[in-house]
Amino acid sequence: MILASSIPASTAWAIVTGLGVLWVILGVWWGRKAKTSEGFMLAGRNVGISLGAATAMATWVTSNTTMVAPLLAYEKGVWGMLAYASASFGLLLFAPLAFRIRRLLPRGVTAGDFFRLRYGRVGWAVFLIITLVYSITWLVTMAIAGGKLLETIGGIEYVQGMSLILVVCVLYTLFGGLYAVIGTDFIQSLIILAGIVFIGVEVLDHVDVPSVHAHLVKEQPALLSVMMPAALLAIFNNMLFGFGEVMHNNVWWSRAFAMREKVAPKAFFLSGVLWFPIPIAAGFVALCAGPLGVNVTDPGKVGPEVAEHVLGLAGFGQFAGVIILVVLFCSMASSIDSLLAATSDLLVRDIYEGVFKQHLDPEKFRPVSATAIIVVSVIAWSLALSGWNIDLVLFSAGALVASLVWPVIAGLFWKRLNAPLVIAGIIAGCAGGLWAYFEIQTYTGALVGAAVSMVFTIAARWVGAKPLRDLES
Amino acid sequence: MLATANAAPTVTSDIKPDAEGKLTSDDGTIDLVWTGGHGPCELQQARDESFADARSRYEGEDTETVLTGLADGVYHFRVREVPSGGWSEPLVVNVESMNRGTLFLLLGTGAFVAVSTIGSILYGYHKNR
Repeated sequence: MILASSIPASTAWAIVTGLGVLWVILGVWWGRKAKTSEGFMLAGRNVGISLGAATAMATWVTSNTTMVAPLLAYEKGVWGMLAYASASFGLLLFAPLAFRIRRLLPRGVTAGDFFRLRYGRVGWAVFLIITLVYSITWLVTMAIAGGKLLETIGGIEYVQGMSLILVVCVLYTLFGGLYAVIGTDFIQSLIILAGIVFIGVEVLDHVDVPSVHAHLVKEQPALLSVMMPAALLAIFNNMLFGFGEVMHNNVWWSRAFAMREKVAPKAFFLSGVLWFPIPIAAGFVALCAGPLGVNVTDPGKVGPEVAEHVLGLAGFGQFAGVIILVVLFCSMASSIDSLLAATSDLLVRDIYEGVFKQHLDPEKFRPVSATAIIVVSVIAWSLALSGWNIDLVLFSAGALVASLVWPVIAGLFWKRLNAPLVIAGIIAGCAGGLWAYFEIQTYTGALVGAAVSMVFTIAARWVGAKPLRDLES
Repeated sequence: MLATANAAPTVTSDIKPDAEGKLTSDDGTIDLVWTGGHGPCELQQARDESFADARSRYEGEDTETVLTGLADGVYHFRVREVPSGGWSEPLVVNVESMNRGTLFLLLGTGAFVAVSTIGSILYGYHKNR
């Protein structure tokens, strides 16, 4: 559609900058507690149930939830909507894993610690390559979504908007570490929930559901079909992608280490339950595009475009743009900050200290950590200049992370394993998944990657298996 | 310049043609772009190549759209300036989903891996709690 920006660019700048200043102030305030590296990276290992559940939920509500979930619903219909919601199973299943992680690694700091102890330096290196590629990919998709959002809502030129969002998130993550991230996540999760409920109620109030159904039957029948191949594939692919994202990434492991031991499983389970309806609500908004006469020119923007249209019908005028911008900016910031913090922890702990064998004095920790955050951001920024299609970028990483699902499960629960065979399975899973992504269909990468890795991992339990080091004792 | 202004618009798609030059979508999504219009345009879609069953899919100032949810089959698209410009050459796009054999193989694999993953986590948790 021809974008008549709903709010002036100056207002959009003011909102993002104003929220950014608020997050920075709160980051500095909460960051005062981060006097040690453990305080900065793990918030003192004392996070309770409310903050724990809120930070997990807010981190999982990313720009991908608010922008890719509508895209999936618009392109893949009802199954697409449910496919995105299946990513909540990753959070739900991380609850029992968090219980086990805390028991095996009570003093663990990053997910890298686990891979190093279980699979040796080769397995650890494979994990680091995969997780850094994935984390940068995730960050790039959010930066692109942020740039597109500010372009759509505020008419801010793409590169300027994308840069603005990244700079704001970098600043407050630099000041406060995980304390700042978790604190701001709590506030952002409340704003996201309130905003999505409000927009959902307005959509239901201004859309006649039977007429939406009639429109879909007439013009977009495949969106209601129980046998839409691409959508059916998306269900299992997304579920396994979600498993891989949550089970391997340091964003979630650092939260498991940061929460009190008995809190972590409950917090992850609660966050999964709270998260499940969000992509369904966001997806339903997109299904209303046709019936509302919204011409979609970029499916990546269909969610905010329809929401803006509906709030406009409800008489909110330019305030509609303000509401959408605040909600979506919070959804992006809550994930970008988490990813920056968790990825920089990996760079500091696993690369700087682990690979390069550098001893990190307490006084050197903050500058090194800050440098890591800035390096990650600059890489993401330079890749996001392309403005790639966000769902294609995101799903290309599915094969990589899904290949780590079974190695994580086996390493946490099994007593015997052939570690080299598991590592070979990770590599084969990545290769097979990427082949499927490019050669068969976009929504097969994670599915094939997880399947191949699973076969190798199960074989590794029986073929040449050796007892694993007993971490519990 | 006058001749250009009166020419019918052209409608294209980003879908890459196959070896035979056919445009095929495997997921029912078709992006369309039209150029050469001077003002509002109308986009029509038809299953019949003579456009006997044509229906209007868009009318307005935009010069592109993304149509989704199209069932398998052959679709014809054309664009004109409204109210009375000449129609563009039709663009023909096939919607052809993945064959059922491959689909069910992948779905079966996905279901098996997903159930096995969930089961192994719950079993491992139960055994080690």
